[in-house]
Amino acid sequence: MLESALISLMGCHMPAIRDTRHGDRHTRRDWNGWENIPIPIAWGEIGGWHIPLSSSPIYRADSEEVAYVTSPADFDLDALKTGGANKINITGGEFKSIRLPRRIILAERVVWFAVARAHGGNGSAGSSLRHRLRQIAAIGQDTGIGYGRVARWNVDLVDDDWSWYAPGDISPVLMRSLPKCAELPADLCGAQAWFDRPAPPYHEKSTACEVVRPC
Amino acid sequence: MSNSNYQLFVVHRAVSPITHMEGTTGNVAVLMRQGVLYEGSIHRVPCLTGNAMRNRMLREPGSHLLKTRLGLYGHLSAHQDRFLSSGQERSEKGNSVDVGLKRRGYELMPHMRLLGGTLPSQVIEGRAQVGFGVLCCRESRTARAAIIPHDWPMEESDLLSYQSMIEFRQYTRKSDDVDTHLRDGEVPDHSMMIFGGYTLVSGSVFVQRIDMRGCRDIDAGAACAAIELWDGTVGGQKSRGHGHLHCEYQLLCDGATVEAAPLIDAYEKHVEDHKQAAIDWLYEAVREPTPQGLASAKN
Repeated sequence: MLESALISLMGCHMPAIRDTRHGDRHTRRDWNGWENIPIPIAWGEIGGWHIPLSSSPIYRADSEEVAYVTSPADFDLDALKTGGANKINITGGEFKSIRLPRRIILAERVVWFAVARAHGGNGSAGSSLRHRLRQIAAIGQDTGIGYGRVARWNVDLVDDDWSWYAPGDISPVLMRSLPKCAELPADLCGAQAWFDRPAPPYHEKSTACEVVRPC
Repeated sequence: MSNSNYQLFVVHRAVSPITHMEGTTGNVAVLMRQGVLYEGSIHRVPCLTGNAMRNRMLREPGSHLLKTRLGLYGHLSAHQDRFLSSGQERSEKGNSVDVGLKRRGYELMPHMRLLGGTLPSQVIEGRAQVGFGVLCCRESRTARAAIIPHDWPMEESDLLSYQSMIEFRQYTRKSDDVDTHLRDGEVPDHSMMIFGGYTLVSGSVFVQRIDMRGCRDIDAGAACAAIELWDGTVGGQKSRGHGHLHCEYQLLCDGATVEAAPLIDAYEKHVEDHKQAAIDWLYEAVREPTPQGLASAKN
């Protein structure tokens, strides 16, 4: 979530890497190049994929509930021109009023483990990350109507890299979705097989592949 | 024209009981609330949702200003009115973005650049992130600290609990002229219909933050112009006097306080200067959907 937020922020600087002359299907190599986007997160390579060195978000959901986002079909009758439709259906069709459920999680804090990298200026990797994070006021969906507000970002420096794997009691614990490949630790725990997109762009369907994800 | 990060900090003081509701149980209206963490437990504190405030405080008055200045009253189709008043919905299937149309729309209509909207076949994203109105009460300290400026006071000692700010109201509705419609021999029914719900007391204070990132001066001016035009109501029962707010706001540009009045003037001048181009853009961008377009959108 952290890296997708950053990438959408920096999306305007994304180099053009799509080549549609050869059809719509792309190999994983077509999408490698995202690591050149100047975000203060380092990247690693596994199974031929370039993956950000950042864990999945870790949080404790203090409460889970459903909120309803509504959009009533109101019309300003004074604004409508005469001779238009006499009846407007608001229970179906294009002007249907909506009341959509949204799953809401209340979490006091969300934590990521990431490897920062410096880019631009004279600052350290940590300060680059702090600078970028300060510009992010909200994360997740429906930020336009107040959800996902971030009170503040804290960046604490630690010595160990727990972005992909964290030390467990018996064997390494998976910390984010990674492509299923021979380079994964053989005794990896906390992982389940899945079919997903392990690297940005996360919305791009053609990058979906066999992955392992934290469970 | 350079882009800046603007923030609006808004303080709403209720001058009548607030009835912004999330639903009903039977014939009782239930207040809209948000969960907040306070001393290790979750409290459901009444709030003003960002969705409601985005519509009531920014979109409705902003579209009214546009329709007035552009002379659009009485000249819009249902789709065009819906686009200005509530953002519209997609009515055609499409997988491409008309960049030129979008760019011209951003240039001509700061209102749309601020709040976004949906053209028949593409979504145009807005820049405003409208936060929740957070009730100033003992339990909402963390939520308030997340949104108000650092130099604003956080006086805690005299804040009440939200539980002491909620009261119940009840109305009755009676039809007095029912007797005149009775036929001979019919017995008049004078029973009254009772309806009611929970309200938040007058004097309650909400704080709210609106982030506008990568905006021009005229975009921030569009937001301030809309707030100035807003009638200050939120929630239901406003015809009975509920839901009236007194609003004050502070505008910040990249962290420094700026005057809103010059930006509002600049926005109004922009609307006046680009009047015909904006009308032409609206009629071009929000056209009546074709039957084929509607059919493809459903598939």
